[in-house]
Amino acid sequence: MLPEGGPRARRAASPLLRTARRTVLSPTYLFAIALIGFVFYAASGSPDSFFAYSMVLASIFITLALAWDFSSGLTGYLNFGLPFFFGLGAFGAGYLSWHGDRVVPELLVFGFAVGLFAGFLFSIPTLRLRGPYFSLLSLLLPIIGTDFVVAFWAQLHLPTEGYYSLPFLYTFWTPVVQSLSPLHLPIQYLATTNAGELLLLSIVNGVLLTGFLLLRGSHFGLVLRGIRDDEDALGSQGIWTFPYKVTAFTLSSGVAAYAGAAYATTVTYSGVDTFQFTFILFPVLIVILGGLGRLSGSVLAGYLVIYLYQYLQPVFSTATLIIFSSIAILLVLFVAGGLERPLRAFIQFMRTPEAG
Amino acid sequence: MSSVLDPVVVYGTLFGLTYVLIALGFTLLFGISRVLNLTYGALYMVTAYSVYYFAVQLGFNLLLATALAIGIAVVLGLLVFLLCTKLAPDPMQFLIVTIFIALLLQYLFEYWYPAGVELVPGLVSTQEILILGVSVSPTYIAAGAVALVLLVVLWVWIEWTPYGHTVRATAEDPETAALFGIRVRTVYLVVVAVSSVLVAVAAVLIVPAQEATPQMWIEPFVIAFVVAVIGGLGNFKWTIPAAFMVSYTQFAVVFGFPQTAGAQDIVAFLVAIGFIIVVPRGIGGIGHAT
Amino acid sequence: MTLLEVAGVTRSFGGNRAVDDVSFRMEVDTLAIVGPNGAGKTTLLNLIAGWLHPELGAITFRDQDVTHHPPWRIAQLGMVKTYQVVRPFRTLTVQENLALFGKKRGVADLDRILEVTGLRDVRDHLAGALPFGLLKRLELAKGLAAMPDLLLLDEPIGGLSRAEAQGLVASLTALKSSGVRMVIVEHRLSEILPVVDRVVALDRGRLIFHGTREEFFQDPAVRTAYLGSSDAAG
Repeated sequence: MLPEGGPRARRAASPLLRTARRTVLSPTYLFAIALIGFVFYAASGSPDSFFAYSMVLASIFITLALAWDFSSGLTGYLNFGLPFFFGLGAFGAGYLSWHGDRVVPELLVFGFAVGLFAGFLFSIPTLRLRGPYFSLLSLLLPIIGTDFVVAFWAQLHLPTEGYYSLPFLYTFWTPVVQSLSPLHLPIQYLATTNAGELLLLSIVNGVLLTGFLLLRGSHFGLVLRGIRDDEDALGSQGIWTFPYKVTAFTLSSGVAAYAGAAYATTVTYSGVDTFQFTFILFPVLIVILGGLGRLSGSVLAGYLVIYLYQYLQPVFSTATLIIFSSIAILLVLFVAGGLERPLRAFIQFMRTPEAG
Repeated sequence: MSSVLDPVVVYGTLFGLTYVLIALGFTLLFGISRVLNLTYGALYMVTAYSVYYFAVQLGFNLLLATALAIGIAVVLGLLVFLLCTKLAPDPMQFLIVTIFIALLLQYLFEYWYPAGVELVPGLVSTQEILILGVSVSPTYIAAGAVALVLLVVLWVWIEWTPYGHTVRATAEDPETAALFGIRVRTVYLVVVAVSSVLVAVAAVLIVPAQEATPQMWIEPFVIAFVVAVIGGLGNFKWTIPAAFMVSYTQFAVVFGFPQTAGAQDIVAFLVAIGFIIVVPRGIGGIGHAT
Repeated sequence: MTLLEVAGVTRSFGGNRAVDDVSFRMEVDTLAIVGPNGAGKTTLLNLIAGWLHPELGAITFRDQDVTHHPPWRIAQLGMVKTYQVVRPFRTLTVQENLALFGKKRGVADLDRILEVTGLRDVRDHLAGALPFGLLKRLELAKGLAAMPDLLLLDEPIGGLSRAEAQGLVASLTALKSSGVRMVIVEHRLSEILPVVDRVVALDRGRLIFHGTREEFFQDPAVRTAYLGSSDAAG
């Protein structure tokens, strides 16, 4: 065999540290984190405004986009079942809140846990199949969710085709605000307004983005990307891809379910509409715009897309979805690399000195 | 026992024939392109609404309306295929675009028909006929008959005509077919047209039994994926028995456990999952990943 | 311990016996599997690596029966196959291509592999952008990164120019002297000979020769298969 690495090998930095450094110092990551902070700052100026609420919604879709990009964007196994886990998290939170006095953290964690569990259960049989078969099966999940609730809500003792009266997401900050009240900091608004919801969602998105990027840069992420390129070639050299796929999709399902629980607490209702395909259209659109597999790009793309949607919705009402799905189609067909390439070309163009 | 079995057999067979249409259309399409095309289901929905539009809103003769609707489905199918293969050659992109198109069509029809549900007129009168002691609407019987005829025609075409052989060879191995001088591109278009016709006819036959909703583009995939799981896509041999398996199971559940009406999709899904767990490689071999 | 033992392995496709009752043992010498077109060389290699399973016979690697193991398990046990038609991970860099498999190895070892296979200068290039010659080298490097006890090379110099092939064979020689065991399926026999010790020859699925490199050229059965001549003299 080839000789072992000598002293040089031992002195090399641990791979985890190197990945972390590479991730944190990447300009797109820093930009994304700064943007998240900036959006919160802007929203806290008018904490209950239309803008603040739009950013809350955007943050939830960004969470979904990150979850989808990390699993489907990296591996190429397109998971259309995202709305199912989203709805599952919403219903989980609704169920827990309906059957007892619950605080928001409990609902969010429960939603996440339910998503992890369901994601794992679904992944085990289906990820042994090749990409197209997996996609086809995942497509059915949201329908299953809707059918199940519509058919059995009475037997399941749901109050209606969903749960209502969930606590508001901003009540997450109530204990924090109360315990800090002797300091007389101007933070009361966090426990009563959309800006408070935005803060929580933004923090979680920042953590998720960082975590996903670290994973992406690790050996685990390398294998996921390898799966997209050539899954069989990985096998021939000793990598059994199944556990990697299952881990990625279980994680992604858990995050999607957390997003569902968060959504349910912003609208204080969890109903059958959380299983809609709208909750796959926008995350995928955001990921495509931000760059497939790039993760950081989804942040800016998310804020833009959802704000635009919120802005156009009162004008076009039900036709807005038509507009957005058309945009999505055009985007995939003509701007395959997301905004990145045209943006770079534009920057290059602006930088080029005038001729003559 | 027979009181439950008879309706299952009768309805299961009649509907099974139309399911075969859907499954075959999808198998053909996937077999030749090796990429999932999610607008296939959208064609199903569009056809149903087109029949309604021409027959009820414009007052055309029902047969004319049906023919026009099928024509629209074929044109739409070809358009989508041409556009997407040209502009989105990457399989991932293609799949994403097709679901976006399916959603676009769903939203479009939700916009045009905000009342949501429209009853599409059937092709025959609604006086029931007795089969095996089960009273069946002539609509379903006609549906079964038409499906059977179409299947026979399709089988004869693929098995006995020279061009049918060409199509089958190309579906099984496009690269080698190209080497033999077969215009693969043209064959693709023919297959797209044929599969569009199949799914459109299925819509025309089944939909009068149910209601048309813009979300119904999912329905064909319920059948398609069970078939895929059992026999593998691109494998004609198992497509037919698998399609019947879906319909028999669905009706067994509906008649055996009436309180579960509305949950047929869940049953089909569970059957498919159960199948993968028990027979991971599928009977026909479903591209088991490493 | 015998490194690799193939015993009575048979595999057919349809009515055609691609590999017919082939048996041989391999210890430390570099082994070449040769034969005219359609002899079953690649099929045999795929059988050994686990991508196909034999209908009859057994394959033993380091005294373990691997006949029905999946390919990834065989690779984890130490027997790694590279591809004739290269399969790089195109959206990853050369370094990342190796890092995929170099989990047990530290950074220094990957450096050495890059050095030996002549890829050090392109380590940060995307694999998808490499020219064919370097892709062949990358294929070899990937195989090495998996830390194999036995490397199965499927036509490693196929498609390379004479000069490129010479370079790659030189790398193979260097690897051999550092202790890497190899089985090489190759068409271009004369160019690969410098690194080969023993030869297994197949003809229409059957093993017609197993012996040293020198014996190979004298063997009458081999001459008949290659030259169609019954002349047993040199």
